[in-house]
Amino acid sequence: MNNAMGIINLVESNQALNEITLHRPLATVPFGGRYRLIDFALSGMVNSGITNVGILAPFQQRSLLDHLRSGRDWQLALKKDGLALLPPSYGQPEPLPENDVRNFYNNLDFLKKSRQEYVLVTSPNVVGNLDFVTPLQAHQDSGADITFLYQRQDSSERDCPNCALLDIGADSQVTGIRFGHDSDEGTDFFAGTFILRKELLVKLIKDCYAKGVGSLLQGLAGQLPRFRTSAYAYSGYLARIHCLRSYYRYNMALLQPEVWQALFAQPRQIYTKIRDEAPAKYTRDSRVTNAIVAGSSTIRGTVDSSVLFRRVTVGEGAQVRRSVLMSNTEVGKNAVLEHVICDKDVRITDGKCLRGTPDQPLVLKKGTVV
Amino acid sequence: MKDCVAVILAGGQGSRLSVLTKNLAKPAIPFGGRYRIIDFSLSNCYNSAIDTVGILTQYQTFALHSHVGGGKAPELPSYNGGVFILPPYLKESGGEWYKGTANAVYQNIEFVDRYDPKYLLVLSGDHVYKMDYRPLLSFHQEKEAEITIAVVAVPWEEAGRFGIMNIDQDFRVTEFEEKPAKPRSNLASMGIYVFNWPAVKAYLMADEQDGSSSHDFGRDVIPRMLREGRSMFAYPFEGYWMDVGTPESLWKANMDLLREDAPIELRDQLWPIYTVDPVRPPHYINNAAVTRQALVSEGCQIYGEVENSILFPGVSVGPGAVVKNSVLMPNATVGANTVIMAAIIGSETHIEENCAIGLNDPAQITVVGQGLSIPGNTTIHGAGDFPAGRGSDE
Repeated sequence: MNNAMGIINLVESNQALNEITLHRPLATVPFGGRYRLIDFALSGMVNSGITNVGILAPFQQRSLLDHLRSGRDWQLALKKDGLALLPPSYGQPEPLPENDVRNFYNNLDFLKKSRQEYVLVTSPNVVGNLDFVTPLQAHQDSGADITFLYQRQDSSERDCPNCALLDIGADSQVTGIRFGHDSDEGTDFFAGTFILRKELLVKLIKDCYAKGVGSLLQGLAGQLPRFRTSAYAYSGYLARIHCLRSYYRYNMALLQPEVWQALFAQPRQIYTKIRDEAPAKYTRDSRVTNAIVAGSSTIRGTVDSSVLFRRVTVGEGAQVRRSVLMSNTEVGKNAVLEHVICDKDVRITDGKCLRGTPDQPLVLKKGTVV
Repeated sequence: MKDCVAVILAGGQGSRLSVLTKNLAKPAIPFGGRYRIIDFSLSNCYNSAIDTVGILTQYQTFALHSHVGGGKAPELPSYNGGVFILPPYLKESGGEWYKGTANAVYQNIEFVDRYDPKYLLVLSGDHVYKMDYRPLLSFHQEKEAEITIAVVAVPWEEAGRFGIMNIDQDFRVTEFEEKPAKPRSNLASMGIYVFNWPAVKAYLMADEQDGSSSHDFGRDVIPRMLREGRSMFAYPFEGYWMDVGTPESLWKANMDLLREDAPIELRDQLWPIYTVDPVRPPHYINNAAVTRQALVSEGCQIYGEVENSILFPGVSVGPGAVVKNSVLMPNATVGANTVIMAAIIGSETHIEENCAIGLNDPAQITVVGQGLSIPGNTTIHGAGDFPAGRGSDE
């Protein structure tokens, strides 16, 4: 037991994936064949012994509620602690713009009544087999007020408007947080997670709210010198989904066996909403290479270098390459897909040919029939 | 008061399955890439809206109990119903193992009485089939029967292996013959019975006092009810029904699922087969792999060649390995360049490199038990079990 509670902040960074986040928050974007992005943060918390988890919810909640239900699938349907949904305040009579500080502020009671001394705040856009035990220990040992997790990665993602970079000074002090397009240099990417004492978080929320600051992280960035901060280099596999390109790239990265191993090797499991699916079915004529395939899919054609979610069907003679097909995608006979992302319930009729490019995958909206 | 309470007889050892049931009750044997055999009768209950189910267990109960989940069945009510695991227990007067199928229900009269049902549905946890029990119950009511036995037509040449029902044109049972040498009907009992609860309760209590009885429904209670002229009907079931009692029938029932016209559709969203999610990632198929005519589950990693086979969750097939016409149970691993033909490999068994297993003969299935480590370059040729159970020629 590590005396920490968790908050997953879903209010920031919506609309990041264009068509894919049109009808759902980033947190419930399907990823890796059977998961939603939030599964990685939630599983990381549960696997790190954090069993009091608040979900700072955005306006769009249908897919979130459908996915999380009681929290049972993450062993969070508990009598003491467990999963708490922290809804936004919609504002009367005029709707208010989305704003995580106001959402935190409206849910201060949840923080106050929680027994834990520390709070780990994270984003739903980090994908990894996350270990929070070591960072929490490091935070407590360091005596810092706030610990920010980061990872040094190549700079190719810097053009993503939704990523953040840390400036790290001597003694691992965080001297600045830069966002998106402002971040024209640096490779120390903020890993979406910070740790602090509960009283300090409550104070920060009240402070930002009083000043009218809309984003907690922006508010923090503006007053870093007031605190003893510490940057913690996260060493495990970490993918950050900020934009469509990174979404596509990190789905494709799962096809590297070492990435698959890093994410899914036992004993720390990634939990998700359970559905009792049948095994995937391969017919006599199927040809499948370099692929990730989930339950209840039926493959009669050719699939190469692709990620297939649950209940996908690929018809006879169809060819699917370097594509991501979400649940219930139907690919008709002799259809050809290359560099395509099909959202849920997409149907490609017989013989259609669709191509994107490695840099700009073609995205088909949920329920599209081509 | 409930209309119907179901009990599933799940205490059988299934000794003809030899090494596979060494540490596992037969209803807990993995089946179809994702399930255990009991999932089929239990899902039939859920899908037939039977909301109170007792599972009678006594042999190697751990895997079975943890699979059924201590009564937490999300599809059933948590109030006034649910799934209950019922092993033998100590009473004030002492306790004893279940002596037979009838005695198992006799020992749980209190459980059934608690719901005071009109009908008791007795099922077997050993069978693979999809069946809506509601038409069976309606048939029982329409015929004003005291006992209805579900029957299925079997090939005439195999009828001698079953309990055979002779019936009149109204489906009334006139005679019951256990494994007849010269069958006069090919309607075999499926081991599925609907009883009027008060009627069968009296027979169970009488049977318990009968020192010469083996306390079995098929051998004792049902013949006695027929003898004493109770109103007994046969309900004809049409569809796939398989008692996977031997390695060959277990293998064949699995292979049936791989056919294009598979007799059981596992993907039917209107009749889902509920099971326990293994919480594993989607499976991975390598660049050099070949996967044809196969059912593959979560968490598998395929680097070699898999054809006409069923892979349960967490199975890995190494580079250059060949798996054909085989069933690999959960977390079995196959080392590089190992060849497996027409075999059943038990759960958690690790076969290292360059082994050769199986004869590739449907009449001679090779069975490798669970939790074994088979060192590299081992040859297990020959029908039978490893380690020897049924007479392996090792």
